[in-house]
Amino acid sequence: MRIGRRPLFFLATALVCVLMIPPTPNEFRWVNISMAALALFWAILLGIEDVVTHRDRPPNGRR
Amino acid sequence: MSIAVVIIIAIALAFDFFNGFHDAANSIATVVSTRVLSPRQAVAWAAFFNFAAFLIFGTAVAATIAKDVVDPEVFSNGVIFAGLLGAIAWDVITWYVGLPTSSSHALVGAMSGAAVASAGWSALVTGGLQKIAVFIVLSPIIGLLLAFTLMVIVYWVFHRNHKVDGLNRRFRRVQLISAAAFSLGHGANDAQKTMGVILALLIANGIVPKDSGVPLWVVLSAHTAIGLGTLFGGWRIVHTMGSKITKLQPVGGMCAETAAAATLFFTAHAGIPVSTTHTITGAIVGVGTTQRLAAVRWGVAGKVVWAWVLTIPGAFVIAYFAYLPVKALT
Repeated sequence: MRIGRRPLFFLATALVCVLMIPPTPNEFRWVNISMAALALFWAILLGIEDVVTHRDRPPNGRR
Repeated sequence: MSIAVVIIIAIALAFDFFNGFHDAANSIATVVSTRVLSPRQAVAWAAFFNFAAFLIFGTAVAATIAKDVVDPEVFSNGVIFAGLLGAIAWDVITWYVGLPTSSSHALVGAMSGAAVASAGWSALVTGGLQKIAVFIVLSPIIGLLLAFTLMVIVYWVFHRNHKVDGLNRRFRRVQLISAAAFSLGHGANDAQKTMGVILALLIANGIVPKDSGVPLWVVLSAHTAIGLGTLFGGWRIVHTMGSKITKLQPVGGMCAETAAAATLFFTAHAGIPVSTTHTITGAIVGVGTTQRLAAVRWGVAGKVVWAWVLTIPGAFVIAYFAYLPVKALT
């Protein structure tokens, strides 16, 4: 199983949003939470896409 | 109104003009790079909507600049003069080297530097600065995620349509609306910073009461200045924003501008001065990421990030030293 760089990129983006929660004023924390959720959603979806694409690919790498 | 106040208002409006000049690229880079409008048409389009923003948005960002960055008691003609000088100097330097930095953060950094030189670190309002600092990081991320999401939705809706030329023509037309929306957001956010500075000046000189809103003549003059600045906008940064970060198609330009406009509408409503440059850069990266990470030229994006990191300290230091002769004279 090989995960590409895009899911990791979105995972890192979600992490940044979560790490920014403590310094964010209370009234705006929903922004961090919703952006972290969106980034996590894309990280999972792109991760699944990578796994499925890799699984469907023949061993010699040709499609 | 004393001559000093008139001169500082003129300098603030010059900063606003230069802000439009400097940031014109943000509003029009994607429209120009996708050849939806010629550079001349794009500049006129952006300038009109920069000006029209005053009809739609309030003055929450102006209030933040006037009251939530520096203790209003510390504001004096000298502090505001040195702050404007620092911000303008930083903008000129970064414009000259073609870096799309933030005029908003240059102004915040410079006002803070001049205020610290005047009254020490206690002059800063930590709550307001904290809000601004958090959104330095969040605004490009919001732009990135919204642009990526919008791009995926558009691909999903139109993936069965194989008439690429027809689709591109359609998105070229839609991009006119998204560019207009982004210019509205740009005008609302950036013109309000100048309004905030002028409001602080008027309060410091006792011309308006401390709890005053922004007078209409200030609103109109700030939007006129930024609109004119955009009309005379520079082209060095268009090149960086429009083509160097990632190659854009009309659909990508439309998604990037819509995402950035949505971010700016929210921050203008919430009274958070953010960088239009950061926001559109994040959105352009988001569009590039839908292809693959390699579609984004990370070297250029990294250079831009360095410019962001340096802006507040750079403008702070310039304004700090600009205030010292003023302090010696008074």
